[in-house]
Amino acid sequence: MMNQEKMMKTAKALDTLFRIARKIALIALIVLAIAVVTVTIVHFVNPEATIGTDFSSLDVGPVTFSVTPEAAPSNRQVLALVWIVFLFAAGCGLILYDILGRAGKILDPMKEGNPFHPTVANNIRRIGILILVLDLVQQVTDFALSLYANHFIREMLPADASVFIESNFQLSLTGVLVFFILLLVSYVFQYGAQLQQLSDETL
Amino acid sequence: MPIILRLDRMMADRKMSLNELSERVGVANVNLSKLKNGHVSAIRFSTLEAICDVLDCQPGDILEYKRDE
Repeated sequence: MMNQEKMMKTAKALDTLFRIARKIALIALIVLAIAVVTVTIVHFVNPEATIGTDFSSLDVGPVTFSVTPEAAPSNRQVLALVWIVFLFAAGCGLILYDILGRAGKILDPMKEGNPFHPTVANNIRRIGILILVLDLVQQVTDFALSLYANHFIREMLPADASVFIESNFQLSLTGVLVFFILLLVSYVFQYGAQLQQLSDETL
Repeated sequence: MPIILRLDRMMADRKMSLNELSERVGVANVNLSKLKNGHVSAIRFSTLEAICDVLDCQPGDILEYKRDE
C-alpha cells in the first residue's frame, strides 16, 4: 500500500510537470510562429531591413560558417532558411506536444492507483513511435540542412575560393534504442493489464 | 464458457435471498450477482468455500461443466 501511495503521489507531481511543459511548448511554438511571421512581414514592407544582427557568423542547422560582411547572404536567402528551419521546428514541436499529452494520459490511471490499464501500454508504445519519428526527422533534417548549407555557401562564394566547411552532423541511434526499450515496457504493461483484468474478474 | 454456476438453483433450494447470502458470505451484492449471472472469469477457493459453507453444499452442487457444441 505504501508503494501505491508513493506511485500516486509521484504520478500527480509528474502530471503537473507535464502540464506545465505542455503549456510552455505551446507558448514557445506560438511565439516562434509570431516571430517568423513578423520577420516575413517586415521583410516585405522594408526589403532593405537587416534580418538579425550579425551575419558574419551564421548557424544553419548542423553547420556553422563565417563569411565576410560583403559576402553575407541576402535577406531573401536568410528568410527562406528561416522558414525551412521554422517548419521543421514546428513539426518537431507538435510531436513533442503530443508526446507530453500522451505522457499525461499514462499518468491518469496511475494517479488513481491502477498502473495496469490498457491505455497505459498503448500510450507508451505510441510515445516510443513518436520519439523514433522525432529522432529520424531531426537526423534527416540535420543531414539535409548540412547538404543544403554546403551548397548554399559554395554558391555564395566566388568559384575559385578555397573554403572549408565544418559539418557538425552526427548519426545517433539513441532514438532507435529508446523506441525498443519503450516497446518492451509497453509489452510489460500490456501483460500487467491482462493480469489486472483477470484479478478484477476473480471473486 | 463451459462452466455454469447454478447458484440461483441452490439459493432457491435453501430459500435464501441474494442479500442474505451476500451478508453471510462477505461478498458484495453486486459481485455475487455477477457470479450468479456468470460474469466472472474465475473464483477463489476461499470464496467457493464460504458459499458452500453458508449454503451447506458441495462445490459440485453449484458448479456444472457443459461441453461446447
